[in-house]
Amino acid sequence: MEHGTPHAIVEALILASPEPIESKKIAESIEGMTVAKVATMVSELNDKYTQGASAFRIREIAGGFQFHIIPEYTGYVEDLFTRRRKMRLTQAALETLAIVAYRQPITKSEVEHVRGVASDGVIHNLLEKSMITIKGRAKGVGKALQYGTTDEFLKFFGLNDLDALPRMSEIEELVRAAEDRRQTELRLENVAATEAMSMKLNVADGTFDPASREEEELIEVETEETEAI
Amino acid sequence: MSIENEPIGVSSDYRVDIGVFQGPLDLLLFLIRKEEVDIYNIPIAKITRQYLKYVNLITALDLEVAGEYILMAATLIRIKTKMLLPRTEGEEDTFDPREELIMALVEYKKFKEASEILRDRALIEEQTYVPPSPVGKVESKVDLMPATTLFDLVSAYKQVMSGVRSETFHQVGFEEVSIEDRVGHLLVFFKDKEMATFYELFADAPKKIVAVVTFIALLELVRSHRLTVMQSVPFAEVRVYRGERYFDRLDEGEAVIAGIQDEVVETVEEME
Repeated sequence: MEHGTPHAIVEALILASPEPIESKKIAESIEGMTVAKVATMVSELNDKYTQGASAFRIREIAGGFQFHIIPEYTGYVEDLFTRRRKMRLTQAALETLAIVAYRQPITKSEVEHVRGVASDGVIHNLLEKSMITIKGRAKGVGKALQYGTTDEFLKFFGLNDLDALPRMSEIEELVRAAEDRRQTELRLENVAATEAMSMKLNVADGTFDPASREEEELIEVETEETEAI
Repeated sequence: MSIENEPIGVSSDYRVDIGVFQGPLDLLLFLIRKEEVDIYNIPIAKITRQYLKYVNLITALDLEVAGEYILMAATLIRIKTKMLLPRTEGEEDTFDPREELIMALVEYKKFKEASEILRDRALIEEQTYVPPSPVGKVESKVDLMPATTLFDLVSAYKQVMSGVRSETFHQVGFEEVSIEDRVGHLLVFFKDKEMATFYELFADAPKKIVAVVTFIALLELVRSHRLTVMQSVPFAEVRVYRGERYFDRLDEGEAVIAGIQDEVVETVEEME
């Protein structure tokens, strides 16, 4: 691959930019450059870094390019420099962010509907941390504010864009698979218990009685379920 | 195996931290997992009994969050009652009183799962080291963030308002200031300069009402693209530029402006 000047310019712009720099901005700064060409050059630069066993690469985050040190070397960096502490998000904040990320634009009451709890505090917090922002107003009564995620959100979670999140259908699949697995396990346990029960019935002399405990439990569970509250 | 004997929060060696639950749905999911029951076929009586035990603890410890939990308890009991009632004729056979609750639980579970994924991503991202730019976090010549939000604007506005001295004497007077005045004032302000900081616009507004009206005028001008607002980085000072339609004639009706005024008041209230 060639190491012409344009490559070096792209490199310089990305290196100097305090924030991830959009390919459009890079393309505008170099004559005869297009967004597609910038992308090619970045991947060529990355190839070069890989071949040269460099400690850094260019990555795409929040719709822009940025240098970062590859994980193999972060340990050394952290040994030498004190770690900048990133803010921690609470479970409530993460849940709310997940809902906003997948359902945006979304109103506060829609978030609360999914979570089943009041969410004023957590939404205000996320607004202050610039993780979400006001995207507009809902149609209908009250014209409630609608929220959406920000570039800060993408950066915090190392995402290039919202499409980098796993699809909701994949998550549904995950939830369903976990539930099915659990149910199969339960059913197998029940089958085992039933089999043991019938085994007990076959043993007339009563010397072999491995299932009496389970049997009692099964009956108890059944009565429990039919009980009124 | 009676659940009555379970020492929830009773014995000293087993205490439940109520704070770990994000709400009634979270608590229900926990109980469903703990009792090893099918989420699509919840034994309502069993789960309700368990649920009430926890809710008793919650109400004893933290009344503030208890309301939502109690509401769910009522919902559970209503579902159970419905299930016990004989079905009236004409009602569909497939009707299950639990359906709505189950849907809500599954929906919530999906986002809980998604939040776990986000948590993992944040941890990975934390391991990623991004070297600081040699240029540093200076205000760049080009504003990188054209997406200044209403939130940013209102935050800046609140800062201005806190700087505006409130008058210590009481004299009821009539302040002659209209949005049209301030719109005109702002347009004149940008006649021979392309950019100004947000705070500069309020430099001549010693009185609260003038600042308020100036802000509304600014929003109106931004809305009609005659001015535009930008930031170099998040939390940086908001800067105001001439918009693409700065040179268009000012001929908007008063009704539009009045509408904007209402919305701003609402927004400010909501954010407080």
